[in-house]
Amino acid sequence: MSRETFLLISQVPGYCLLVFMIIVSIGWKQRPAYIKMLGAYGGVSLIALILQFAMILFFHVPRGNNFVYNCYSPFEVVFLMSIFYIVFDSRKTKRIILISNIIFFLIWLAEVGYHDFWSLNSYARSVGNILLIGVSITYFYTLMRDLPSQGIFRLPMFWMATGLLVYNAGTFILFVLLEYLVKVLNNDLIYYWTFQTFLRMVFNSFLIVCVWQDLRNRRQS
Amino acid sequence: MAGPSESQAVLIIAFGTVGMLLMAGAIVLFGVFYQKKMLQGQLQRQLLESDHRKKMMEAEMQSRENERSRLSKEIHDGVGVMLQALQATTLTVAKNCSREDREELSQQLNEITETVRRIAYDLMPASLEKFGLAETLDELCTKLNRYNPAIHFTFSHDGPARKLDSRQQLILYRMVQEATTNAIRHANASEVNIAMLWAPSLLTLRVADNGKGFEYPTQENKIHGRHGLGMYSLENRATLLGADLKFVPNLPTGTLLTVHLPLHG
Repeated sequence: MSRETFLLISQVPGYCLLVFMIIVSIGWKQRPAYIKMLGAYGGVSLIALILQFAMILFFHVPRGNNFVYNCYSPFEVVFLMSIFYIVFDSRKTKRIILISNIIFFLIWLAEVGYHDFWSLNSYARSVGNILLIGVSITYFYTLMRDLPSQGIFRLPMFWMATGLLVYNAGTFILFVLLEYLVKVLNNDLIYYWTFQTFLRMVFNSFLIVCVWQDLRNRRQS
Repeated sequence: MAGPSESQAVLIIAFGTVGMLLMAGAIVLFGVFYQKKMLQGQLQRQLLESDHRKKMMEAEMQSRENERSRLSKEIHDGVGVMLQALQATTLTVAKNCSREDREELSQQLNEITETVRRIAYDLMPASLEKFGLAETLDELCTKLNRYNPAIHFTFSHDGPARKLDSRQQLILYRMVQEATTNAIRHANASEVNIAMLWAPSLLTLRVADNGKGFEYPTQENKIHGRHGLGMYSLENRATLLGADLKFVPNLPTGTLLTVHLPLHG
């Protein structure tokens, strides 16, 4: 696969995010707090993606995209965990999410301190994967416990949790072994990043369904 | 060409990722099917409960109607016959009394006999079984006009009539009885129209009055039990019949009660 094809494929999640931003902006004022947070997350993700491309294509900063990714990575985990913080009712779960966020942030700081902002720091991201898988599974557990009378597919959070679970489960191994892969494959990670891009596209598509479902529910009620 | 370390890494990543994705898929599918199954179970329980409640209501209504029928017969055949005998005896005994006294006595005895007959009729109209619902409602209107001169009751029926079973007839009759009682007691109406409209697969029964109307029961009122016993009884009877019951304002004033009974076969 050529570098150009890879760059072309990498743009697809960005287009998904663009669609997501358009849908989430419809009836913004009436949207619940967690959807507004999700909208803000989408906006920052889109900016991060554009910056990553800009670093590679226009500024030609060596490892500039790593710098952007290292700045964006903690934001993504903390923000997505905070959305679950709003959604869950249990005080115990909220406290666990808060503590997890702090621990994750400290791990990220330690990793960035140990390496630097220009290397691909993936261990903190792996911890983030585990945390996001954990909150998604907790969400499914609460769904099974509380049994909402509304069909499960009509719940916007169901789509977000499904997307998160699939994306984080799919990329977990990749992030854990990233440093090893860089050494073994001599930095030739194009196929692995294409796979990661594909999963990111799936995740963003789930986010689109999530905000569209919220809009649909709002219009029908 | 990939060396041993490289192929090992590829295998680890491939198996690990596929495993993780399968786990994620299994969790999502489990969540979906579990919720579906539990909701189905819940729905089935609700259906069973509703069926049980309906059967209880049916048994209660049946026992009440049996008791009414027994009382009606006792009053009509026992007390009624005894009153007629008493009337004949009293008039014979009172031969020596003045003509005016005898006439007053006879009139009072007639009134008592009439009242007793009316009570017997209200408890269980004999014509319902003999002549059917339309005739009985017509008869009811005649009686209501006689006993409530301030209100004008009318009855009409339209369309090809179908045979209703005795249970359906009795429940519909009781619903009309309840609605007319409400119109007499609470609505302050001067006109009450009862209509039966037959369609090939639907019977529509309407009771309309021109009274002051009433506050229509909202869902919230129903939940907090803030609607009258009459309404409750009408709703229960409609449920037992499998009919649709509606209350709407009868413009410009009054209330229109509509019962839609689907006809099968």
